[in-house]
Amino acid sequence: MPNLEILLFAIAAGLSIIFLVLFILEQYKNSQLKKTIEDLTSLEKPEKGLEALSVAIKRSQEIISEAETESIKIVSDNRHQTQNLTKDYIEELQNASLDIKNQLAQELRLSVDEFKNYLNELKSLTNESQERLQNQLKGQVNTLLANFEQNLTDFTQKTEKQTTSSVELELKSARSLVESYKQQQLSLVDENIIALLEKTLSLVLAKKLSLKDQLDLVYEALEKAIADKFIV
Amino acid sequence: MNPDLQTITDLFLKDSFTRTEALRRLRLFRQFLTDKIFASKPKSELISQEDGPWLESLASDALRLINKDNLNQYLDALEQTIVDIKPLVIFLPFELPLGELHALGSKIRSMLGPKFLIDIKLDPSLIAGCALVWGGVYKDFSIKAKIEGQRSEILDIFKTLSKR
Repeated sequence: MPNLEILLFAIAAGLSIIFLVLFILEQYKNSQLKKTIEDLTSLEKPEKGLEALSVAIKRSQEIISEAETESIKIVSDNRHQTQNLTKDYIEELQNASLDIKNQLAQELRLSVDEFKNYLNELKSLTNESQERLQNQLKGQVNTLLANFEQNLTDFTQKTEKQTTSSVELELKSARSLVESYKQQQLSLVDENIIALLEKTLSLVLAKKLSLKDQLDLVYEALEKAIADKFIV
Repeated sequence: MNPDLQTITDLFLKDSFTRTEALRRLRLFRQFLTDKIFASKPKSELISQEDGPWLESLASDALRLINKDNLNQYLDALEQTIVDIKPLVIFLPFELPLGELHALGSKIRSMLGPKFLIDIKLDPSLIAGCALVWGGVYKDFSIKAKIEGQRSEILDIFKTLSKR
């Protein structure tokens, strides 16, 4: 691309020079014509004036023809230069295009290579990150499993203890109930034995004890009550 | 206490051993004396054979001290004295004949003093012996209480026998 800019700059510079040359020539002709008119106006005699005029006309025709020649030459040169410049421009343009193409191709290759490198780096980073994440995940899963195992163990032990305690309590309660029932039954049996004994004694003593015996027992009870100071 | 009232009380309680009997006899005594003092002829049909001799004996002594002026005063005081005496309640497992009741009363008075009343109640579950209530406190001296007191020994004997 820098070559293209230089080429454009050269074309512009050439055109500027051409216009400058044309401008100088025009100024020169104007000054010659002005000088001729002044010479003519300064003549005092008409003959001399006519002669001068004819000389001037001749001179002007020569100048014009020279100017035309010069201009044709200049135009021709200009055209030639333009053609050369165009040719150069085309060549430069082609060269520039080729350079650009080559440059673009090279840059594309570089970009592709960079992109490939980037992708490779990205891949390696991804792999590394993935590996790190896998390791972290593995660690976390291991920790989680360890915690879960510990919690499960604790829960199992706690449940086992609670179950054992509950079963022991149930057993204790059942044993207590059985013992209570046993005691109740034994107490009932004892009560029945005593009631039976009392009933038997009541029946037997009512027949066997005389009134005197009964009263003797009453007197004995009274003496005992007095001895115990129950009756004061 | 008035000596005359004391004499009358002693005479009255001499053969009355239970509170129930004493109050019943007081009612008869009051009627008997009222009839004796104010009526021309006592209403002997209301008096039983058992109470008749006792009333006649008591009245002959009491009439020396009681007249129409102090009759109610003395008898009211006598009733109050009977009510004030704290009776010994005796629970017996058998019915006591009247004669034996008097014997028992005499025996108790010989033990505890002349101004003493008893109250007999029946409780066949006592088997033998008696239970006493004195001052609102119950104490069992019967065979039943002895069985209860030796309950464990008795049960042990029964268990030993049953094992054989």
